[in-house]
Amino acid sequence: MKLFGLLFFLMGFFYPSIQSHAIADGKTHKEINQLEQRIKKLEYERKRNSQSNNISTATGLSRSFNPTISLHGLLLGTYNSEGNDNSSQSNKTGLSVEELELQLAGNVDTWFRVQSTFSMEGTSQFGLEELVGSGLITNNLSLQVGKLFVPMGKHNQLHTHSQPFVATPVSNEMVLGEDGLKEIGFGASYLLPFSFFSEINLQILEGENEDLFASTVNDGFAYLTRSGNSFDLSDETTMDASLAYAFGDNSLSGPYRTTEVFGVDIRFKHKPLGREGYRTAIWQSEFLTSTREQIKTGFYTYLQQQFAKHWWAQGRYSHSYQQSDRSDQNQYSLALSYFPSEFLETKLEYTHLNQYAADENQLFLRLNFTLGAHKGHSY
Amino acid sequence: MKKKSLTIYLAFLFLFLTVTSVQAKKISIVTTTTDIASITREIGGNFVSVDSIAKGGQDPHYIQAKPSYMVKLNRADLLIYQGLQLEIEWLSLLIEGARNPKVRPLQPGHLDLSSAIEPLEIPLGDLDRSMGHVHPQGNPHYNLSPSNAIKMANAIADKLSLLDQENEIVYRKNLDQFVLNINERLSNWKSRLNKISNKKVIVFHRTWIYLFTEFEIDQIGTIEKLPGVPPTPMHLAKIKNLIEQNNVRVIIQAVHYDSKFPDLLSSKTGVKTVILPAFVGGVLEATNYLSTMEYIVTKLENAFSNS
Repeated sequence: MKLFGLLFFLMGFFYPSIQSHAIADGKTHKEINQLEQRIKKLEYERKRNSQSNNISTATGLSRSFNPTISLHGLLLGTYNSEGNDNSSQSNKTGLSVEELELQLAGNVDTWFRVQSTFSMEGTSQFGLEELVGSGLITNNLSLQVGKLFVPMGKHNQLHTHSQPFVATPVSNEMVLGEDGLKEIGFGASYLLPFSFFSEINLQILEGENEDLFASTVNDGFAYLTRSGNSFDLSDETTMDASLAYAFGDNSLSGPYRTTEVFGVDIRFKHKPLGREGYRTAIWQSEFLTSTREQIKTGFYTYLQQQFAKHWWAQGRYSHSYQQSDRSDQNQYSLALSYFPSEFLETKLEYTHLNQYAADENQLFLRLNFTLGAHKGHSY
Repeated sequence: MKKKSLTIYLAFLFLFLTVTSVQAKKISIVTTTTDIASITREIGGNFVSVDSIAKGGQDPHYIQAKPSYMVKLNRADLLIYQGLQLEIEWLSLLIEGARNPKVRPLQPGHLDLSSAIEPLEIPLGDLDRSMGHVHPQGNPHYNLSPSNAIKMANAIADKLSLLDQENEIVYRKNLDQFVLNINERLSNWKSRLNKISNKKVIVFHRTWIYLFTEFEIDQIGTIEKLPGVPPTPMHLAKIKNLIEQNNVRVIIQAVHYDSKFPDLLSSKTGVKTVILPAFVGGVLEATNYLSTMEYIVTKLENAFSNS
């Protein structure tokens, strides 16, 4: 009883003092609110951290530091009007796993980032397609090293899963070879301080491409310089234009021992504001030429039109010419693509190949899917 | 005469140097959305120049990583973005292409505003792509809650004060004014919408959950089957039944979506479709954050009252 009396006494003594203090100091209420906010924030952070900590492997190591992994699959059905009795025919009639691409990408440390792509053509040939290590050296200047998709024209820089047509343009096949220009090397790219986008690339390459370089001496490198530019003609329309020049020793001797390659590309892209997901129009053209013991030239031009959220229609004409035998090829392609989501595409394509040998009519039906965490494609 | 000319010349020179030095002091800021740009302008005032990558009527999920945006980011002192993977398709490409160390992750010139708010709709359990376009860290459209706008403004003021301590007082003062303006309008908006008894709505995409939480609007279904996945005929039939059973009077969708499916449901059930801007600049009247919210509240008020 005495204890209760004492408690009442103490409460009566201190309560008015606490109350008056709180009223006198108007900040208290605000401070309590701020503290409540901080507690809520901390609780949220704790929840988020516990979620991310739960993502661990059986060994207890966090998956947070694993690279992003994605798998691209290309399943292809082909009909070709020619060469059905020839097993080495390109684009031959049949069903195939056209390609699987396994990509791993992530930051090595604060300074260096790596992206690697392993590809398997068919069901057995597995190899390294691309390995790019890159780092920002200083403002505007970055370095790249590894096995690179050489920036000679736009098409050569694309992985198979992001190429707009199933059939490779005959211009690229003729000038850069069937597998394109992929080289081990290193280079720098510098963003010029202009009001529009303009970058310069310089690369030193091993020069292994057998159609162009493949020098017989170990120090027979190839060198590339490229100027890439982009202009916004309006908020909805962009024009890109690039020039690239490469040269290097090849396997020949005498006056033809150096190969020169020149490429120019241009693209217009139109996306109406507010309807980006529904409408896009792209016109892209590219011209390539190489000089060795003979001159090879070629170009393509295509038009792509997205006409509904999930549908694209496109057409392309490609031409190639080889001076030595004066043979030329004309390739006409029409395609219709359906994208249920950005990770899945079905494409139906018809290609007519007009050439010195018998003309070919090719029909492709391709399923293209992406599994896992895949970064968006460059513009 | 010569003396007079010299004085005028020096005066002009002084003026020029003063103007250029004031200009040079401006913090160059690139934001990913127009809402962030609008709030940043309110807080930064004359000490910042702000440029948004996405325009108000665009869907920020699907912005293209245009090279010209890399140039903008290349010159920026500060990048402010919405986060929660709203910009996942394109922002990392822009940061990489910009070659500007200042705006890279973990640098002082890099601000993810989602760390200032409490996300809603954080999906539980294991996620995969069969669930549609899910955001593992929560719904990223938090800009549509005025209470969150205050939190965003606080984070922006903190960042600007850190980058430009000299003008911290100005940023804090601008913040207080912004918070005052929002709070004044918020009570008005709430009282206007609280008068409406039936606030059940169907939405096209889950854009509005923060707005609905703020104003106690009841979202009972989405026209999309899953986030980013268009409806099947069966799903549309289910939504039609929901509308009829719950006496839903309004479908809400953002300006950047095709109104084909909402229009179809409207024609079948008589429900009204309200097209709203999801960001500042989404419609002509939405010139800044406050006017955008005013536009949204007025449209909702009219839609509920007239239907």
